[in-house]
Amino acid sequence: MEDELVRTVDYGLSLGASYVEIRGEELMEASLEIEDERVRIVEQGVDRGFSVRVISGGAWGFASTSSLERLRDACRSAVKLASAASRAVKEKVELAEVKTSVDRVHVKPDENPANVGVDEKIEMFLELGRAILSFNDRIKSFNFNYSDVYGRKWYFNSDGTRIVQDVLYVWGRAVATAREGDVYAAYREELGSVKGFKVWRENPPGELAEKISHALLEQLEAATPRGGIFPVVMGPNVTGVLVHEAFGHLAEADSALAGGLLLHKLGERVASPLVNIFDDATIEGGFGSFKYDDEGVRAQRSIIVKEGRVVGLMYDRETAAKIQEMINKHHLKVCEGFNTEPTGNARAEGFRVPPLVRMRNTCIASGDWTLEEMIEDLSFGYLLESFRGGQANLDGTFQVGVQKAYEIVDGEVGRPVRNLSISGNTLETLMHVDAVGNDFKLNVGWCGKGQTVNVGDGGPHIRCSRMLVGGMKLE
Amino acid sequence: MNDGAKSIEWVLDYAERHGADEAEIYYNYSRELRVEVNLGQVSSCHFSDEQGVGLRVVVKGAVGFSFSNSLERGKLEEVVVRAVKAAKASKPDEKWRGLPAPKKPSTVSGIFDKRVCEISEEELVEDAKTMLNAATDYSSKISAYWGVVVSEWGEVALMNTHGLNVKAEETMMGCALGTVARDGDEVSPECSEFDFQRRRKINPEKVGREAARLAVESLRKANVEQGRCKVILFHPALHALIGYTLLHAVSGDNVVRERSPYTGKLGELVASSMLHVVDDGTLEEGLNTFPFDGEGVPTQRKEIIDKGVLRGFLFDSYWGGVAGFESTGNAGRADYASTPHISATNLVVKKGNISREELIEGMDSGLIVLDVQGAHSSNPVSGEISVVANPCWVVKNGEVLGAAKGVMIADNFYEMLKRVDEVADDVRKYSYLVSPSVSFSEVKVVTRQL
Repeated sequence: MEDELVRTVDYGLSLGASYVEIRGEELMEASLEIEDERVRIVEQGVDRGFSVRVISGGAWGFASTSSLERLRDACRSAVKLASAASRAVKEKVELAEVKTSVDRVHVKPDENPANVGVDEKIEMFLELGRAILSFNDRIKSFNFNYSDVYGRKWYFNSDGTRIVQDVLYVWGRAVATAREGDVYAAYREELGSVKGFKVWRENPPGELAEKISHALLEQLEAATPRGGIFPVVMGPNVTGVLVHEAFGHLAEADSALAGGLLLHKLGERVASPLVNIFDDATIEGGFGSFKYDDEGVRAQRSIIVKEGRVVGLMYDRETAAKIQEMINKHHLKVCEGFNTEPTGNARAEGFRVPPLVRMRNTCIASGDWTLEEMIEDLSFGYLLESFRGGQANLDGTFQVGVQKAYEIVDGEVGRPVRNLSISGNTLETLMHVDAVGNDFKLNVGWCGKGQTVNVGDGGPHIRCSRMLVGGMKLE
Repeated sequence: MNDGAKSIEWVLDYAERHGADEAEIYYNYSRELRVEVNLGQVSSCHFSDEQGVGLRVVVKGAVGFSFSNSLERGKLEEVVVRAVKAAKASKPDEKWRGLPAPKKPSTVSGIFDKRVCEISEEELVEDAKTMLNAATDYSSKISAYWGVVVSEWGEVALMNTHGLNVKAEETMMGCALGTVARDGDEVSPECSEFDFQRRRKINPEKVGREAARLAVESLRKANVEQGRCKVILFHPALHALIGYTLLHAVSGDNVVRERSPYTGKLGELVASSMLHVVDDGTLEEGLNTFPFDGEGVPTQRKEIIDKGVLRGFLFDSYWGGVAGFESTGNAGRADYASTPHISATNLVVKKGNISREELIEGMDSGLIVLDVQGAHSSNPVSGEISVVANPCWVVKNGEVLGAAKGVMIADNFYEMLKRVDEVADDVRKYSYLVSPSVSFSEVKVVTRQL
């Protein structure tokens, strides 16, 4: 098969393309869904296919197929599509040079999910549900989604890069709800690993059930938040989603180039000097870690913000070339040492779609404050420990919903608060970070940008002196 | 029609011989041609066509599923083995009522247009250029961050061991453009416009111009005070909020499992008498209109909320059976590799009889909200929402003063439905929602300005 991929790359060049790349995938997928104590469905499938992406006439063409036999047709089709697009293209697509690689990357699972019986998985997650539902009669429902993927990806291009890379992930999410009178509570817990099934051995159903049940019942007792501007201390789970949603998306080079907030701030101060932000695909065990991205670029740790200053963005090969060109033509000013090399952030959801600039493990680096020090001088504020969801906009407006929060009163953690959310402008908010904790934790997540990919995010506890809190109670 | 579906009927017999009590095979062919706007220019053209099957088998009420994008005999035999193995590993379910019996599919019209299948990549590139140029010609402040023009052709065939055997095809064509406007250091929020149709009748020029107009209009600033005020939600904001609250509340599974505030409330007043909502899987030219649902059950039109009174829920055959109702034809299915789930078809909010302009002119003081951020962090059981309204325009004495930043709507969406005070006639359709702009009174608004 690999010979056929090489031949097809050459075939694309012979049709007039200036660049050809082929991606292939063969993945074994297993998933299951549980509703309360019922197994809704158990799924097992194999997904296999290939795609060809070419540059011809300065434009992109892309075609995918499920069969190797039709790969040459797809290649011909991609070249034809590129020439159609080339009629509209104003500035020809260029790619930044990168070192070519020939490599085989094998993952040695800590426990291969494909070797864990479906019946064993079912029993484990039914037990989790039973434990939660029987914990307290105010707990009303349990939903669980599990999936694992194990297989291989191929990446071959006309620069000579040839990579065969194993793919593995294991993931699950529990959502439980509780009710007391008119108060409804919902709580989500998510676990995942790119190393294997062991994550579920390390977090047995009994312990998880206790954690989820306590969080739910706490919400039923919780106060509603006051709306307005308050100081907040965010735990690693909220720090992670904030840095991913509010800042990370703006630092994806395609978003910046599209007119986003950061474009004319490259090299400038955008955050408090306490803030250091990086995106790292090499963190051992990070849910967004991998060795090569979907353009065959060796993934690395990229520093984006250093002591409050933007020192780089996340790039694929096209955006890296574009930024460099804009700097060369003096359309953009950046600081000394600003990174414009490709960072290995090109990722595709699967063979059916071309890669986009995506995050991997995006984090705020630790500082030297303890949580106690951050809290002790606050007369009133909120401690935000776990998020429900978040979303950001190119103008820098973000929103993060919080599922686990507490009041901070006179320097101490007080009563729990439910259905709180925070919002603000990213840069203003990062400027107001006045304490960065000495702890660090990485979370498991998914990021949607038309395509969905697995990511990690995290950091320490951080404190922000001013944050808009959306509460049901108006002051 | 593609002929892939003809050669798979044997799979059902094969599944029964391998231990399935019941089996259902779903075949899906899809073809997509798309042109994208990236980094501010039309620079990319994509094609994909794919067929595949998803097999559901039932063993003692336990459901197993597997899929394949190869229709080779050997691969399909593996699909059967995997699905049966999955079902046998699962737990018997005494509530299982069986796969649906055959019924005649609904008669629907306007969901297939041969001209959409025939469109060439050159024509789509032209449409994309027209859309992008309309935006950049509108103002030099505009940059397009994303855009697409797409044509799709799909075919679905569905068979089960009770003799159900249905098939149909559909087309869709659409375009969308997202823009931001920049003036010095000031960046507008993302503003997007769209036009999705079953037939070849999209208007890329209008989409481009309107996306640009919205972004430019968002640069002018206005202030808003914290408190309660009247709020008009446009289609994208309604789409996000209804999707994470009301759809959850009227989903039959949530109703039966008491995860819905509407459990036990059929016939009660749950919304303003101005509000009339139906789910109509047979709507002419509806984007989710189809003769049958993801289990082969005929689609239908059903009242959900009539003059504020709760009239019905959405069911698939399983939850319909558990609740003692029939399936309402609401088992949605994304593609061959996914299993059916309860979902809305075309959720239609009945239009009123005033225009959007009249609605705004008649407003003493309030906000117009194009879209919201954070709807997915809403509490679907309680209805509590805490979202950023962005873009959001301030209206005083019928006049749009400018856009406000940092406005949060912190309210309860189910309570807000009781405060619908006007419905415009500017109906838009995108994904599941067919709706005009809707006005709500006394909405709780939190702001950043102090």
